[in-house]
Amino acid sequence: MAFVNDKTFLYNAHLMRVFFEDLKQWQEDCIFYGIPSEISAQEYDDLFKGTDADVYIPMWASACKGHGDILIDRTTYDCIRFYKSYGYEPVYMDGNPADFLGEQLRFLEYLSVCGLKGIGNAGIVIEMFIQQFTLDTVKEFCKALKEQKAVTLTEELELVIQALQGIAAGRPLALATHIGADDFDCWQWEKKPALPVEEPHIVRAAGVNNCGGNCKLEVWVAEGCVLDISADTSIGGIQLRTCPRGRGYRHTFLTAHRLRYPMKRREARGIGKYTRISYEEAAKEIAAKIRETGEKYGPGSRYMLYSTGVCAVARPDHLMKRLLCLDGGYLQHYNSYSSAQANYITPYIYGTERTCNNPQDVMNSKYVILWGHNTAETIIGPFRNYYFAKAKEQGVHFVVIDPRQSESALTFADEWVPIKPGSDCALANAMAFVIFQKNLQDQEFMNRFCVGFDEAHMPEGVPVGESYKSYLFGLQDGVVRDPKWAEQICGVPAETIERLAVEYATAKPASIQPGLGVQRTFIGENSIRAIAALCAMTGNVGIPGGGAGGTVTPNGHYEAQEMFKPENGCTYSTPVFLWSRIIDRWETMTAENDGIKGADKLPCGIKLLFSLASNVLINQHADINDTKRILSDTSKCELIVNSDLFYTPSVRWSDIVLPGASLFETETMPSVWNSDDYVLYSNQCTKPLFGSVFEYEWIKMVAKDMGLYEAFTEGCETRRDWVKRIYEEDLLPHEPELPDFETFTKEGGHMYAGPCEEPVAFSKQIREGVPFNTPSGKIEIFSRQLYDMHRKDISGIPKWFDGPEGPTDYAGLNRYPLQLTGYHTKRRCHSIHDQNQWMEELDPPALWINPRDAVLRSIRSGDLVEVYNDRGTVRIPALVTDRIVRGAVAMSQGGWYTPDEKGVDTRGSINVLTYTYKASPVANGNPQHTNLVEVRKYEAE
Amino acid sequence: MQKIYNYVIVGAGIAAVSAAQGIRETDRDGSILMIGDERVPAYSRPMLTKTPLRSYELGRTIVAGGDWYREQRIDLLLGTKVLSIDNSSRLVSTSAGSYFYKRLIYATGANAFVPPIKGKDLPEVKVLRRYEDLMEVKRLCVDTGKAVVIGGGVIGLEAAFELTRYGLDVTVLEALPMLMPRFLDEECAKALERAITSFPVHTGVTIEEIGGKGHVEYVKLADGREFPCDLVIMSTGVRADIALAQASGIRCTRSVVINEKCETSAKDIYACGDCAEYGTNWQLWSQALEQGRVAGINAAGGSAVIGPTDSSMIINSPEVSMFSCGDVGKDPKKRYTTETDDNWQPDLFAVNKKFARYFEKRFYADGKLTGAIIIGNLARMQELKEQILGIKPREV
Repeated sequence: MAFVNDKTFLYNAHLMRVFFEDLKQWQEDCIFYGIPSEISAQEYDDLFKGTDADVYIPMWASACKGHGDILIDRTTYDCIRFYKSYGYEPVYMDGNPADFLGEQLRFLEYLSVCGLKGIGNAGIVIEMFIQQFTLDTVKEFCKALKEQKAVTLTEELELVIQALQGIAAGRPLALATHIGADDFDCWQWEKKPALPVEEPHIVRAAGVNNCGGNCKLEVWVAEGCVLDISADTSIGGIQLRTCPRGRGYRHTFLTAHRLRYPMKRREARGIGKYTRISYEEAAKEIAAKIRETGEKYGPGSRYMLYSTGVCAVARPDHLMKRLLCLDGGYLQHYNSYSSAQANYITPYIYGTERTCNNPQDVMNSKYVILWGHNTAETIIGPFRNYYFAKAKEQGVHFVVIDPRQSESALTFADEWVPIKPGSDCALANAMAFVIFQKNLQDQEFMNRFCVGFDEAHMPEGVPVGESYKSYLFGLQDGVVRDPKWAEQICGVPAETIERLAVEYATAKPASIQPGLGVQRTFIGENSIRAIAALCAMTGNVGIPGGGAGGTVTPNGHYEAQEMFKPENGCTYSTPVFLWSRIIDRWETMTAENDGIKGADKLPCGIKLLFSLASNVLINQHADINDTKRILSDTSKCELIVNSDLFYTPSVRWSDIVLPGASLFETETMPSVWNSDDYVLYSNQCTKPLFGSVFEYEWIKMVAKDMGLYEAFTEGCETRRDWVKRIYEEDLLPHEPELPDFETFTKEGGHMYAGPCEEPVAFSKQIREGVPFNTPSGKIEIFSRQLYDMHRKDISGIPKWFDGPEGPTDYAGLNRYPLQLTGYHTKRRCHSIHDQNQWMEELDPPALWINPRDAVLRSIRSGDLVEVYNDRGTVRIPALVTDRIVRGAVAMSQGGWYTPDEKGVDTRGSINVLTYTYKASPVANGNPQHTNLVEVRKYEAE
Repeated sequence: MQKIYNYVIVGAGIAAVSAAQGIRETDRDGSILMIGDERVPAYSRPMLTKTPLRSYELGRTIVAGGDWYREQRIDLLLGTKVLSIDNSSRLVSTSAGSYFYKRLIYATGANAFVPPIKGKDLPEVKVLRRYEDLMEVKRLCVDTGKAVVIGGGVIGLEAAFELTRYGLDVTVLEALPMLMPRFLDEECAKALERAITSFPVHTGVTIEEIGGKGHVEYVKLADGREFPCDLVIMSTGVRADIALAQASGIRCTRSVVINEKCETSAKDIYACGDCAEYGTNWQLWSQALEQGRVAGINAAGGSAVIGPTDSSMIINSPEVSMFSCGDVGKDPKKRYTTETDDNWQPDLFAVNKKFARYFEKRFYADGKLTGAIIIGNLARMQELKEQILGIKPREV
């Protein structure tokens, strides 16, 4: 037998255990053993406590056993079972999972002591344990340690490596022993009888990411280990099953790359080097900064960055906003990154955002146009794809209009209409032209319910020629907006435009469903308005099987959001897309040019920035290089507080970093998108990893430091308390069908008995003549409010205009001849899951490029290419395919910004190439899908 | 008082377990003693090199759990050496005592063969035949950086893949001028070599010595080339374990000779598995499984004969896969025609392009498909096997 259980083994195990458990003790012991110990606390933390973004050393059996860098999995469970069968209760050193190398060594120490005390077959058990766990852990640990570029291996670390390898290989080092085993704490340990082990059981959880397909997770848990995730089989008749992202959640959220302890930046922003601090220290500094900025600049100097990492109730940013309101408030934003243009402009047309019919209604359609709508990959509610598929089975005709032949096009479409990014308004204009020209409009509907479509139905006092028809027929400016005109802009052949218009107008009922891609352009507002005009012109608004266009938000069940916030002392707000501009040059911003609401100018910039479960800071916001420039100046934005799960690009640019809790490590009620017909509860599966906590814990500390504890918590000590309060006081009164909170959490959720009252948007208006909530009481194809703004690119009717980096920006195209559009990929949820090894197989980084554009640049599929413009360069493999319209290239959004030494992004982070210099004209929304670039084959030097 | 068993099985591997199953199928009550010299019960030997080293868990490859032996009323002696078999007195002597038998099944398997190369006794020269060997190699690998694998057969290549995946720098040395001449032809051997990119393969080499001062430091070839390394894996074949059989007078060639009923030349003694030879001793898992069953049934008074053997060879690794089945042009008395499908640069849209490609060669004689080789995606494997062997091969 290779393993001899004697004092030598014990000394080695003990010494190595101390190395991992207690640096100070290690340094003291080193003196006794004559080992030179010079490692500083910071170097030690960088290597073993995760304080350096570029260092990763696996120290847990689960991460070393070849099933991926995952923690608390089956291997960990087996390890715990092993411990407990020998009476050992793990101590979870510094929050580490039980299969942490330090803990393994402590267990071996325990076995060794038992053996030396003459108990049991310690030698054999030691050998078995090492073979099953320690061998692989030591191997991977030592290998990683040796490979760290930042570390030179000192004599001390070499010795650690040798000692560990010696233990693992059954040949422990001979150590000089000046102190006897009696002095070790372990000699006091006694062999305990076997401990009971928890059996695997299901905990009901749910996804909390920004995904419309909020799914049920049946999580197999045992001894705090997350073993597996099963899909839903339990609620009602319809299942809320996870997609591959959901099934792979462990590979995202439980990787060994998790942030572990609270930290503070110790070098320049962006470098990724930190010093460990305590939560108390972090809270103190945050509290001080909140007070300081409030006093020095005013409440508007504090800002909560847009975030969607936790789309749930009692979410981190809402909790912090509540606290800020108790101290005077914070700068509010309006809009979202998802739907700014659509959600902002649709109320001008219909008087509300809620314009989408219930998913089931598609069964009543004859003809459906999915316009920039990719529900197969961006799950817009779990039922939509199901009903699309059913409708298709029944012979409903589907057309997909999209620059890409998306997976939705592949799955549902009878016809894919390739279109240039950002040109949808022109296409919709031309279709309207055809409908009018051929007299296919529903004149009676328009006469009753619409204003602005022709000169006879205009508001009082508007000059002649401002109607939609006048615009389309060129009565004002001589330009006829017919299919030939549109073809030049959008690339869709004139015959196709005419045919589509006729097909749509004559199929009754027909449904145009625009997605959020259409509106995320420089001309998003008018694209949405033009599409809505088509729906109104053909009488498809408010009828079963029809569609009003507009947003993707239906009239649904109540969505609980209430956080019982006190009044916000900051009474003005700004568009969500302009935060970096506010930091950079707030003094130059005005209400008119920059969409400030509630003030003409800003009294101050953003000095204190919170980024809680968000990757907007550097990654999801446009023009990354410019944002880097702005954030590098610490006199502008003085403090950035970030809580997240990993070293995201945003974390690397933050000052105070707090490790958050994943969905498995906390409990809450996810926010169901678009008020779908169900509500879920995500129960807690395990305790937070390492030193992480759900943000509420440290926010309470901040509140305490500010003397606002009672006012802030109002008796809700835990997140669950808040969720319960919100459920009982906000949700239940609106949805009395729901069960009591305890039942609700036990079941993991509730399926509503049926869709809400009005599954077809505006059916009341059309059937019963209830007025629309607009100034005219009708559908405003012409909007007086917009007309009266008399501003460039804001028109009374949905006009096409040439805009920056759009398909008619000929000056721009001269320099950068290809349009770049983004898309949501099925392998991520925004930037979540980018590190997931499973998901990488589904859709690895690629730039989609049409064969005719590729051949001109000598690019073949698989070639590494550089996509670039004035704002930066991305290096990425090319995918040459005719699934992307000619003249445009596409890259999925969400790839993590990973610059090389020259600043070239090497992962595929599209926002290196997008711009912030101009927001959309009405909403001041993000035009992130319209950009101009060039592409060249990459030649390595 | 020496115990008498109806059946004693010498060996506790897959042939032995299969034999015990065969016995129980036929005789529900006869007592069975199974004696194995490894410390663990039967496990999948192929999985030793078909599993990543890091995730290898013996427990997952055990053929039958402890409950099974109890339920089948098999007395299992592990870690026990059989010292002699005396057929005249029907006595088996072991390190744990002696036992009488009515019928004996000889299933000792095979041992790794190490050719007499200079330096073969250095401590870091290892074979990969047993679970213990794998654990030894892992312990040696805890620090080691370079390994040389001697032998480019299935096990040698699989070991090379897994050691590479485990983080080592590996070189494979093969004495013959091409890889696996029994199972590949020249064209396919070249295709296989081309497909392997994660370690170099040198064919047609003669090894002069494994050198080093007390520890492995290099492998030196007759032509002077030297390969520095800290570990050598000898994958140079196995030899049937026939010492006991020979000593007790059972007829052997290189293996124990059996007939189609697995009977040996000694009365009431049967043999099966890697130690036995009926026609060709392929020393394959599927053969051991089949012969074990036949031996067991016949020993228990039933009647069975050895069926056709699935002698296909498979390598399955993330980098490259290989399949070879049947007669791939190796019979000098036959005239062959071949058909080749070269799909190594596939056109089609594949989620995982690497796995779509394959190179397939089919061999025909007298108008019949006699054998086939695939390098790459093995999707067609089952279909080809059934065509060539004419049967649905038995599952393990």
